[in-house]
Amino acid sequence: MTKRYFDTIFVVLLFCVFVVSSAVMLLYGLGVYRTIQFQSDESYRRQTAMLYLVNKVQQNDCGGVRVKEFSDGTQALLLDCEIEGEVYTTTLYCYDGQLREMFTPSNITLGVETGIPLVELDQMSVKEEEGYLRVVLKTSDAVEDTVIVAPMSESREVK
Amino acid sequence: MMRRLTKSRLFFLELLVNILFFCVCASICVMVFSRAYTVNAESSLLSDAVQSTQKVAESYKAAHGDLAEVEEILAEGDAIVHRFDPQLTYMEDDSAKMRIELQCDFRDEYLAVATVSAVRLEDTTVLYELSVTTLTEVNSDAR
Repeated sequence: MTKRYFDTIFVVLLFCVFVVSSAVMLLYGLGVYRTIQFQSDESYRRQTAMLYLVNKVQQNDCGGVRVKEFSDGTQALLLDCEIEGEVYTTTLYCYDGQLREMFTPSNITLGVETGIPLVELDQMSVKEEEGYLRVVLKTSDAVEDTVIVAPMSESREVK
Repeated sequence: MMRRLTKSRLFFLELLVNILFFCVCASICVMVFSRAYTVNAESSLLSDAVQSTQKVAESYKAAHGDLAEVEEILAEGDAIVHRFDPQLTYMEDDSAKMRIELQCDFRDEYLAVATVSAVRLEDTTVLYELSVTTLTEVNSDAR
């Protein structure tokens, strides 16, 4: 009777060990998945805006790169390009937690809210130094990254 | 004569087989998880390496190949920059996992060519490398 009782207890204990091990495995997998997801999200947030900005400047580096400040203090990067005799401007700026872009003929000025939202971005500041631009980007999780862009075309500041 | 197995013994045997199977699967899962973690960490490091390398390359272009000026551009915040002409090393801060090395390969009155590489501090493996060519100051002024 006692032997049978211990047999049952042992089997139940073994079953408990099995359940606990399964739970530990599941939690471990969940932890790894969370870490990977978090790192990949962070990487996306940090780098997408930065790479987009750098590539956009390099792609449109033909008619000059300008730095402009909107009336509400928002800083913008203006890239001029001549298409079939008319000058068009690509404006890149940060507004309402997003990096936005506007593509308009250079003589037309639109409000900051009209730009197309591209990617999440908390803050963008552009400092024009001699021969290069120092762009500081701040993501929603307060990570700050500095990008240096050296445009070949002449740049000037516009207020 | 074969003894009849009790219900609990049968369950015990079944459980043992299950646990054995579970252990094999669990060890495979742990291997896959740790591999995924390593690959992800390496991928993040490579992205950072590309980003930092491009930053140094752009600084080199902005400075028209002048290393003293590159040093000035990069020296901001916690950055650690050392210049030993014709080489320059850059680290984001003292906790960085890699250093960026800029090696001037060629420079004359028109052109300056350099190789920028990201080197992992742990084992000095080159993570990413690019070559950058720029007009020198004299030539860019004449544009």
